[in-house]
Amino acid sequence: MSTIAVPRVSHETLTQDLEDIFREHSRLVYRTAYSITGSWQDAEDVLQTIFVRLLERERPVEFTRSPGAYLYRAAVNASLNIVQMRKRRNVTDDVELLKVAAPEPGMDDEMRRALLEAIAQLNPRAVEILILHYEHNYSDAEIAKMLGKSRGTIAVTLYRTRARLKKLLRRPE
Amino acid sequence: MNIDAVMKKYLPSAPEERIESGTTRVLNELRRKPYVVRESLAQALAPARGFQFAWPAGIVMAVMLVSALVWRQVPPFSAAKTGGADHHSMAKSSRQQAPDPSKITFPSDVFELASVKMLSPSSEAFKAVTTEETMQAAFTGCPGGFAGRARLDPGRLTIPGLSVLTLVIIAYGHDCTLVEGGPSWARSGEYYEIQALLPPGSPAYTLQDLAKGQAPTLQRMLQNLLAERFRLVLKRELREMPVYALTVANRAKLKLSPAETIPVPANFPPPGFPAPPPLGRGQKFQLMGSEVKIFAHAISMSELVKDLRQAAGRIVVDKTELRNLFDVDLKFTPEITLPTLGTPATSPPPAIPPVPGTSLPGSPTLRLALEEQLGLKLEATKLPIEVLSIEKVERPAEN
Repeated sequence: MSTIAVPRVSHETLTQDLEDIFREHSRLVYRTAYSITGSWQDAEDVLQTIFVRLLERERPVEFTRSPGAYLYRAAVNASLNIVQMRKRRNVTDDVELLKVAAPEPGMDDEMRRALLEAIAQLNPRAVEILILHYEHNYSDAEIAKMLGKSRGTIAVTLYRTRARLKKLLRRPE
Repeated sequence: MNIDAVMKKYLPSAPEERIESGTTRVLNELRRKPYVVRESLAQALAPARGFQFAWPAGIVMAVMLVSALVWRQVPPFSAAKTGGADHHSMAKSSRQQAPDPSKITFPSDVFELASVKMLSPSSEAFKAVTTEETMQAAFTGCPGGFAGRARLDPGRLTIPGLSVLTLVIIAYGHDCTLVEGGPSWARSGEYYEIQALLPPGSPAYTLQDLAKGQAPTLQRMLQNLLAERFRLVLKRELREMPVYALTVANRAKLKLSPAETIPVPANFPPPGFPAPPPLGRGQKFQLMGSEVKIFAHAISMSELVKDLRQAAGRIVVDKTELRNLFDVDLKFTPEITLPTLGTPATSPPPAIPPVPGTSLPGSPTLRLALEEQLGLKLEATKLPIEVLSIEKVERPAEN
């Protein structure tokens, strides 16, 4: 019989303040995770994992200061980890991934898969900006304000990220 | 290549209804207490690889998968590739978690030893199971409901005989109408006796916990057993279905007695039947027939919706967002004609609308009763509901 480390059954209660934060930001987390992983199961897992951790452990200062910003970053990082792990495990039969908004099978599926894999190879900070821009439709100025950076930095990062994506999609690494 | 166009066309964007159902489901899962948090599941996942996904155990496993990545391999919520210095305002978390000294090592979620035996059609056990299945179908509408003859002793689970369908329903805590597909032998007509030893340190559950789908570790053990011995492969999908949504109309009508036990009203049992003993917390009595009576002490809304499902004639979804426990004293005429032994459930003839201001004779309908007696509202709507399909199942090999 094999043994693995199983820490505990948690008895933490979902507090009202955390539930309020969940209601306010869960859609942002879900949408972000879905865009990066292309899978609604993964999006749910990311959302749940982030909040389970907040229940289980002392809340980070960054979370207390700005819950939305912290949750968004956590969503991006956790989603990227999932995609990278999926690639490492060579999981290629993700049926759901192929179904995501694909109008017809064939080239579109391949392109979508290639795009998600390319995004997973980007710097997480670049992905944050990319998803805010393309999925959440924020302008450079809005992103700059949200992330505490200059508008110029956002524009340059987006430019470089597009170039990197182009390269990755032409010649997958 | 125009990256703008590629992103717009190929970046997955979650549909609104999926976001709604996904976030609601996660919120409900977070409200469940206790929930299991694990740090490594590499071995636990292996036996259940045949499953594409399952709820709720599936999400627990998947969460564990993410947890394993996030909490063990890399710092909390930082991606594996951080890409150099970072002066972001959402600064990286500095709280690297130390290993939990109270961590206990449990065996993975598989039975220590399990024996699966097909019942012979000529055996007494087979006859008992078929009788029980007929009764179950009559009372719950499920051909394979939960079998009460199972036993859960410390360290041992004994199931005298169940169909594969019933095992799936128990293992995944699903409504029987939401598990479809599979060969006919797996749904009814072939029954398996299961004797299983639970590994030391397994959480202590009751049969009630298992019946309610609140025994996650034991359910995962059953899931793994089904995957290993029956080569079961399930697929889950969300399907938009007509359901009833249960909401709150008048919160003041919901009450909870602080007493540990409450007496059952004298008029609850039918004439000639002895009075039932007082009810403890979490216990209930339910009478089904032309009039349905439910009397319960300290139960949750999620339990109540399960009890209403049969009489309502369709799935009832808890949208009350109430997390407390309540007492229930409910009497109503069911929405459908409840079956008696050997007769299927049928829809009633179209109701004649009552004249406003007049009262109907006898018990009120379920909707009226809920509103008048408990301050709850039942609304017909369409919602995405998870359906499990049996993609593949095989008869088990010999022990």
